[in-house]
Amino acid sequence: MSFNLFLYYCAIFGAYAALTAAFISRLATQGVTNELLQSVIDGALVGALISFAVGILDTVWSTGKSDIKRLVIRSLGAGFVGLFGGILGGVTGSFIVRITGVQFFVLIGWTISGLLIGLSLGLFDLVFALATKSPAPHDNKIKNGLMGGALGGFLGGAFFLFFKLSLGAIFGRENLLSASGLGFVALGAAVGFFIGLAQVVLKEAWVRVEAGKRIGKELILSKPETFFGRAETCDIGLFGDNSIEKIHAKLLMQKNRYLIADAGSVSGTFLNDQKVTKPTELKAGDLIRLGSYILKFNEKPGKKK
Amino acid sequence: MMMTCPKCSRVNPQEAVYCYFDGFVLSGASAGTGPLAINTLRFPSPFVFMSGRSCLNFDDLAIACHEESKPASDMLKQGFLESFLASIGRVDLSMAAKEAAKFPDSSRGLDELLGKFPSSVLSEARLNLSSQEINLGVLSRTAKREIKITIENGGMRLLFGSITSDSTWLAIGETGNASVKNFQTTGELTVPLRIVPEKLRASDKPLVAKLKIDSSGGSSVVLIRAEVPVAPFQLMPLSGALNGRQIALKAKANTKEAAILFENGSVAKWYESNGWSYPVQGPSASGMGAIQQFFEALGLTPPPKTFINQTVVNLVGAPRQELAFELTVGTEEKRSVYAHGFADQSWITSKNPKLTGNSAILGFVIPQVPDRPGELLVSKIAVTSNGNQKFLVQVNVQVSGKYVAPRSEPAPELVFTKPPEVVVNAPPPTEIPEADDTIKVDPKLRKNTKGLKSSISLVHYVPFAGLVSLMVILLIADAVGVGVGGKTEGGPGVAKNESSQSSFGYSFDIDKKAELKLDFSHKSKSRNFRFGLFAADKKDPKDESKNLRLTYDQEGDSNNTRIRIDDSDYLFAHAMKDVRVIEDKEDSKRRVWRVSCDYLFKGERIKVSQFVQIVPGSQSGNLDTCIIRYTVENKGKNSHKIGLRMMLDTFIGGEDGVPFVVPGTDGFVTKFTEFTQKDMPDFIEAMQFQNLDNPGVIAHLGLKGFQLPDCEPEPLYKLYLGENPGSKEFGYDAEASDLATKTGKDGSRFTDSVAFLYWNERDTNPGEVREFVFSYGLGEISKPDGSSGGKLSVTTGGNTNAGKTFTLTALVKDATKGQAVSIALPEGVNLASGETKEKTIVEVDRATQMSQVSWKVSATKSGVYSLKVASGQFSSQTKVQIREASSSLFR
Repeated sequence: MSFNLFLYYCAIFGAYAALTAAFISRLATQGVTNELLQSVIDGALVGALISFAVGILDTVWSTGKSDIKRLVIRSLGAGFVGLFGGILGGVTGSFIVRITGVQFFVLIGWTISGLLIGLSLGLFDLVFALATKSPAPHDNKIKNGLMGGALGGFLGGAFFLFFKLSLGAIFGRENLLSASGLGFVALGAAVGFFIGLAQVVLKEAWVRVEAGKRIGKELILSKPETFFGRAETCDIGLFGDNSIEKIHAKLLMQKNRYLIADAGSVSGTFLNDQKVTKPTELKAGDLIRLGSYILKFNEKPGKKK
Repeated sequence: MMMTCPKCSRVNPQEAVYCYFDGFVLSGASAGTGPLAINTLRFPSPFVFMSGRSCLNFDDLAIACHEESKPASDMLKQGFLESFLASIGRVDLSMAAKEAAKFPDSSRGLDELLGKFPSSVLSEARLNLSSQEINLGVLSRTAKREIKITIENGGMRLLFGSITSDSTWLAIGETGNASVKNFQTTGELTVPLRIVPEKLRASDKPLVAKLKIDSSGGSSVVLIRAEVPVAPFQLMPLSGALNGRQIALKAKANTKEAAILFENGSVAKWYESNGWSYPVQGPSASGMGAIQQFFEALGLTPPPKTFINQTVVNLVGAPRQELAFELTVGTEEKRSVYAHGFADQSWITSKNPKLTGNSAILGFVIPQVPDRPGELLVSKIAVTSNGNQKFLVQVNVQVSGKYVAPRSEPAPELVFTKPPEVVVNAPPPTEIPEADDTIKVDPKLRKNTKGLKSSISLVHYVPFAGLVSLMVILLIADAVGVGVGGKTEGGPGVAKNESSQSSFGYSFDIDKKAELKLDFSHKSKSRNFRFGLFAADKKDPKDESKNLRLTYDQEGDSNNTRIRIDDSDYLFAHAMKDVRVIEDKEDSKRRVWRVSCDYLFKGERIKVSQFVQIVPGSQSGNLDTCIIRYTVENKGKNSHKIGLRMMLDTFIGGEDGVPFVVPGTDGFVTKFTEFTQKDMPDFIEAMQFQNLDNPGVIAHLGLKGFQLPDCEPEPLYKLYLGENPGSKEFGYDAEASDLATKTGKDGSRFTDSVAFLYWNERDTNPGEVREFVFSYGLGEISKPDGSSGGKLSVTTGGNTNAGKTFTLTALVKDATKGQAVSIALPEGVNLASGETKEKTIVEVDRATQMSQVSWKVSATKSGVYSLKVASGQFSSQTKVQIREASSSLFR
């Protein structure tokens, strides 16, 4: 999946998740008159479902494999964090609006919700890494998620307000299905899109499949070790070429340097046509060949070394 | 401090008693002795498998891991081995277990760990092969053949590695043409091999393929031998030839006959049948050219030096026009020339070249100039001639702006036969780039991954289309008034089928016929910006020339509103010095009227707006209620003490002094009464006739429970119900004595009732906006059913949103003091705190023989509920619609 497609699906997943949250919330809060409780339910559903949906996409995209167990654990974990984020944002926003009486302040609530939804993916990875004593993920993932989520929450909230007010004026009433639906879709799409965009725009290094069966697939390098091979557990699965080992090569991130290392393959790993015999530092534009696959290493210009 | 083994010089942890690598004792009384047999040293506590198998030492553990490899792998993945090894002090092995657990392949991970155990009980993997050489005999290029080799692991550790075939005709696996395959086994493994017939090359020497097996248990090579005899050429005059050189010799002897075999591809097919590559690349030439082509390809004769007549072709054509042009490749030598060319654009096609001895004419056609008027289209044609000499010709096609209809249409003015304009003296073409053997990514491969537009194929649009469809469905649902979680029976907050408009956040069908109308005094009288209410379709029963009114004056002239700002009183919208009306806006379509005034007070500005609109009654759904809203904004920089008073001169169906039904009081209010904020009723009602079967017009004055989305109204501070002296324009403070002095025809009863509504006179901060709301309109009571005998009826008022408290009032005719009245509530409706189901009548109005009893109730969920009251043998019920009230952040 390319970056563009990833962004597109981030927005789509976020939108569907938010829309689902809107409908479930409508049904769940029937008869609920306590505004705080409504905000809690709304926020919990929005936060959990958007985080869950974006978590699924992020897991599939960043790991490129069909490890269902990991997918479920990671997505549910993200959803769990997002649930609390949504509640906090919903309650805070409602409280501020209630205190100030200024409708515009709902944006604060939305922004907080988006921020914590954006945090959910990176935070779950961090917690998981601490719990399993595995290498911690790059802190960029958390920072980018925070920035993207906050921006998405703010803009989504602005869209939400716009739809609520404009459709309210058109139809002449409050609590519209369409205003709520469009608003939620805008919120989910914005949060999802900007979380994805932050990952993509603020990425420091990534690889792209330039030749081979999965041409166009791109992967942001955010782990200490990124594995390439035809095993399903690899970060980029290079399928359909038996000259590629299950674990063929790995890309190491060490102190802002990126190194390519062969993992004992028979057919070898080649960096710019030179066989890799020891971990070799990569520079932007380097071409890595594994069997019939060619991967291009890219690095953000001006990145600190 | 680390401990270094004096024997093997390896580093051990500080707490190591013996060297973890050779068992040499490092500390304690036996230091310097050893080595210990670490593999048999008893663990401090045994490691027990889930099967119950207990391992006392490393040998036991290694054998158990070998024999129960699956559970062992699982325990490795789950970290049990890591923690066990750490617990016995083997941090080095614990770390090794942690690393091994990360292996994508669990068997490999386990084997890695076993390799680090201080135990030799498991023998190392050893590669054994079933055979070192296989002779397949004579093979045909048309028959498939499969064989197998067996790999045996002679040891106990995992044998893993890869098999590589160095020949394309020997593939590994049952399908595909793989030349490399990885394997791993603890026992025996059979590997299928497949002969790929189409890759066999006929030869007079036997073919030998090497199958190299590299593994953790050693390397080995298996030789696969086969013979593929050459099939001789069958056709005369080249028959019997067994290789290219023999073909060339026979062709040289019989050029004319042989040329036909080259030209028709027979020689090329013979090459192919033997699995050889035909040396001539590109299309075959004709005649002698074909033989020369073959000779040149074999290197038997040097190619002539050729040239091309032009390297740039400029054409002009209309869209869909057919264009054609030719290129000529020639030589100055007396040798045959052959050539062919291909364009890089699909809109140019090439014809078969015409070979005319020492020149070749290449024809190209553009069947239809692409429909891109005004563009300059560029294509490159790569021409290859003798000896692989290449020319690059650039073709520029200027598409004219004029549209040309398709050829099939009989348009006489179209000129399809117009020859292309060829410009010979044009800029030189781009040179052919040199070959580059470094890794290059084919731009075509990237073609479909550039840019969002191209990267999203049609299938990816499906979820977006689904989303858009859902949104459209929601919009339609809202347009037709379908909602989730609410009834759609009309009333505030709910729209019906037609277009609707809002003010105060209410929505309703604006085209619906209004039962109540607004009239404004500023139209015809004193321009004092007051409003009156009347029913247009009903006449005053006492004066047929007038409409039935709810205010004494149809244009509201007898009502007035006063503002008090820092102890100074102002009549609302009464223009004077420092008071100006800044807005007077009426929207008759929406039945709404807004008046705003600026009060300039000591250089400070106070803005007061009056906003009135006819809206649907909360229960009736009819346009029979007027909402009155005042907004006070302190636009100054200092705090000001501001209060507002509204005097409503009530008039009910020709009666100016009917008694008021006031929930919470014991009987009917017929004389001056004051209500404070604490005992303020939800509503007040008055019936034109004190007859429950025929109450006539019912006036309903709503005082509390307004839940407007865009404002938080302040509660009413004070209410006076009193007698209108008539001759006096009241000031801000209506004197109770004034209101109570005039005595009506019925003693102390009202003859001309008025209501004074006060909102708190208090400090209003700079920038603060205060909202005051009440409603006035037509009310309704339940029609007495057969069982009530016209003696019992019910009316409701207040906030009928879910979770809010409203008032239900039972009206009882001809009751006696102490008579019991009870209420029956359906599920979901509850009495407010302190209320009892049964109440007794305290007072009976002597003049009308009417009594009333009220309850405060609330419903938890939206819906329509039937509420029933009973007294003695009579009962009556009314339906109340409860709606959702939502103000969640997300709504």
